[in-house]
Amino acid sequence: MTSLLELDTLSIKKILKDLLRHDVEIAVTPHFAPHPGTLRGLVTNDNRLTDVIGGDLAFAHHVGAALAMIPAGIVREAGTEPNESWLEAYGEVANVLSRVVNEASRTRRRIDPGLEHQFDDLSAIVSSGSAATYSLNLDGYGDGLLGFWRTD
Amino acid sequence: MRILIVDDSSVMRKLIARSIRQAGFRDAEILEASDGAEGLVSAREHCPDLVMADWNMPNMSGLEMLKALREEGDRVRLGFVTSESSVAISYEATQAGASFFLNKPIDADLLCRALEGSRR
Repeated sequence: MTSLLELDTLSIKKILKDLLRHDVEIAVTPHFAPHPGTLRGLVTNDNRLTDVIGGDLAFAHHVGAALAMIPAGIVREAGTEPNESWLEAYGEVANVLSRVVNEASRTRRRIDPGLEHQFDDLSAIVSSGSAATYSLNLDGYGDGLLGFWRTD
Repeated sequence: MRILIVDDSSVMRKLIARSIRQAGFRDAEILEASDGAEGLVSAREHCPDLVMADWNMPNMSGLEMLKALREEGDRVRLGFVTSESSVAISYEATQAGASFFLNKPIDADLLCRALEGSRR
């Protein structure tokens, strides 16, 4: 695998289910604009940005809260403002999703640890690169959107 | 059994601790550290039976921590729990003396085997 865009829905579902221990329903969905706070870049060892992971705020909150074992009811009552601790936990989910690109690729990549690629670089890939976008339902937490983008 | 979990994500440390308990090691004493440097200090101080470390961490990586322990003559059983998945990195870990290399999400059976191998 050379890009996250090659991940199939079954693989995404299995990774999320194994990690979060909640059932996941997933379907391909039309492209969408991810929430800026959810963008995470995948870089090579020489710090070249190749892929971006993002989602809507609902997805990031749902998976972040589920990973942190925050009950769904609390997430539902929390409203729509970005929650820093859930977003931080979402970053771990993105990190785990990103590992699949290393399983069959000679080029090691990882989530940009220093966030050296700032928002402009990430959003440039989102607006001009190829994309694979999904709608997901995380059992108990609700619906959200997840996307992968890569440089062309 | 005393287990030291070294991961820069507090959520991941919590998740690994839960997985250990769910694997049947409810009485395990869990210690936590947030990077390799902190893990090294904790390992020296508490002499755990097992260290479970992330690979990528700020300040000191899991591999650097493992090498530092071995240089000190500490033979504590240490395995990696990481999102890194390349064969090259798994090989590097094994060459450095790691006892196991588990990917996140953690496979329950593999975790059980790793824990069983660390019983006193």
